[in-house]
Amino acid sequence: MLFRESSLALYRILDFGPILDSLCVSAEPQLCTICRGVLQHCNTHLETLCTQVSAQAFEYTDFKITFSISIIAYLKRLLVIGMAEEELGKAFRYKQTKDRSVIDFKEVYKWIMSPLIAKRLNVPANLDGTFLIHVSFAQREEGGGAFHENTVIQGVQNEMESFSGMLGKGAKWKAKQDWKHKKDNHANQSGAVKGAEQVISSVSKLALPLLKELDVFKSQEIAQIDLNTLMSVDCTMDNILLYGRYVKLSREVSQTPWNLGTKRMHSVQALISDNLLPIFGSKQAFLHAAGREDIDVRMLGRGRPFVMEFVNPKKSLSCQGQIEDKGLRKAINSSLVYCHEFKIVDKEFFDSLKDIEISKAKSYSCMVWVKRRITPQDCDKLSTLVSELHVQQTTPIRVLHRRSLAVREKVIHRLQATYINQHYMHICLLASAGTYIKEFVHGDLGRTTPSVGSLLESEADILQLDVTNVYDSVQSVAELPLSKLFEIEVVSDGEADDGEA
Amino acid sequence: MEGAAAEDIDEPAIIQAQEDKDLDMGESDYFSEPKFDSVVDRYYTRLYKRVTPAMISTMLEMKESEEQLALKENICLDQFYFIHSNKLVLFGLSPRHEAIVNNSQNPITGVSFDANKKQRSQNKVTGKSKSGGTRLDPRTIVCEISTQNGKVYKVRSFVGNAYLIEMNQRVVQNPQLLAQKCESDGYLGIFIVKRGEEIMSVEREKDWAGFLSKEEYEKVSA
Repeated sequence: MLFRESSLALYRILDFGPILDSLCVSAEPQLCTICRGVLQHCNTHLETLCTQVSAQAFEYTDFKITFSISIIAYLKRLLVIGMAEEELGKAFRYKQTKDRSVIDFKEVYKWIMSPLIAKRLNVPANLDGTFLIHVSFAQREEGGGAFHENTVIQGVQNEMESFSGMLGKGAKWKAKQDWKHKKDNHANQSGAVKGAEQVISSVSKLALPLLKELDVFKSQEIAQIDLNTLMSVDCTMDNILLYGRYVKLSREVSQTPWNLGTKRMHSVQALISDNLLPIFGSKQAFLHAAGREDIDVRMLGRGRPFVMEFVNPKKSLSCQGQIEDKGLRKAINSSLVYCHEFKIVDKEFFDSLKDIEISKAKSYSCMVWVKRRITPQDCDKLSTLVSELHVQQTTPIRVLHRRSLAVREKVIHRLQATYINQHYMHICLLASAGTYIKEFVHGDLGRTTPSVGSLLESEADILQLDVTNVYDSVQSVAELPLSKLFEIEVVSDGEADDGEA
Repeated sequence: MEGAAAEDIDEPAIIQAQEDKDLDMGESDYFSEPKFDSVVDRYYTRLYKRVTPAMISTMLEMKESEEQLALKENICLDQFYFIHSNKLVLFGLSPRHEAIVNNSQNPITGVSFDANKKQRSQNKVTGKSKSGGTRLDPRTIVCEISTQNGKVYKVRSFVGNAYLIEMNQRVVQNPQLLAQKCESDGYLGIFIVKRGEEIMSVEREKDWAGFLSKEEYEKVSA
């Protein structure tokens, strides 16, 4: 163990020999009773570690490491400290006070290993890096076994409970808490890390005689363990965020994966990501879009902004060359969805994506049926009537199961109605973000007022709806004449048109 | 005169055509009722419940004499329950309900959700899970409908294990809406069944077994 003499000072460790000697209790060839060979032989398992990192085939420019060791090592350390206190008495200066405490295994490991790994892998260490190497010397996977973290934790908790009779109220309550956790096995499985901390802190409060009685220390099996055998290396890379805009040309494609009974519907997420996953070397991707549209609503015009999050991309460097519109557009290769305007963004962009969702006005185009007979004059009257019209929308019943019941005020900025025949008309409108257009047309049983039905003094219904554009702000389009405003842009696949508004 | 006679024969035909044009509904009319489902039929499954005073008496376990029962026999107090695909339930009075059928002679003057001195209309639900709604028991009186001659109809819920999340205030403000559009704008309220639980109909079964579908309801004579 290394103890902190005084408050932290920086050292450059040139030679690890003396440190390792002072770290490990037991001379070679025996394994150190505390770290069980992990810190003692760290330079020998360096090679294995690097091979495993290379095997996982990531591309990286720097790295950072995290380290975890079995709870057995922590418990052993508690015992050794306790025994040292007992034997040395006053001479032992390192009682667990704030500025004279034992240094955690993790820090020591990182101090020693970071430069060694950096040299071996030929990349610098960087605490703010994107590539994470996780080295673990504990058994945490499914299965059991005497060395499994959960087995050890449960064993110690059992014994703590049986000790609780001898201890005061505080310990009894702690034991009860542990017992409650024990009841539900599932909670224990996932809460293994939390349980470990609890166990360590409660064991540290035990008096030495009781401590020595714990099974963990008496068991021969555990005493002989070589933790090096439990080594596992996991590498993860920060997720890559790809921004783009998508145009949805189908009325049967949902935004995120959805199963209708047994039939798997197409989803925008799958259509975009399926062919892009190999480019990034990722296995999974998530779509975050600035707002949603219904499955039966097409998204036209310039398209809806979205961010595709690629999980654990292995090709984080080589994909950079491919991030240009034509390449990615060709890769997606779907007649139902079209994307463009790609660029890589960072996490802060999510805030602006949310901002886009709640602030952007959108223009729509829909086919409306009216119960009573209408005339072209009715259509003109409607167009002039609806200008900056404030609409009170009570949460539509079709979304009421997942949104709270409230009345939201929205604005219909402009509207243009075109007469088709006595019962049908075509409506284009510009509305604020978050307006439910279908409910604005049919009135949702009177819960949206005013509605197209009520304005025409009849019943109305909506047959088809398209989102024709997402605008940056209402001001930018306020001056446009209606014909220009509701023109539907077609973003084509041609060379000339490369994401221009 | 023959010419006039010929005209006479022709005239009705012309007026006929014009009448057709003025009427909103005509079979030969090219622009007839829409061939697509209305807003209600698109999202909801229509279920109806036949309610008679005898049923209510049995449910409340009231003992009544033969005479009293005979008087009340043919009174129709049917209600509808439209179940949305997201499991929310819209409910209200069926068009065959006595209050609506008699509306022309005895107009509906008021709808009140504050039955039995309970200030239900003050109840607000909050949050996504819509907590705070009145819990419904099959015998709960949801609202009272008063008519001009003083007759009051009490609407009971007939379902249990459900929470009333919305009471239609437009019907309170405009009671005639109930008579004119009882199955659409004039609905009475919306209730939900909490996640993981099931609706309990008055027949003590955990489903809608005691309720009739639209076809079954239409077959039953009024």
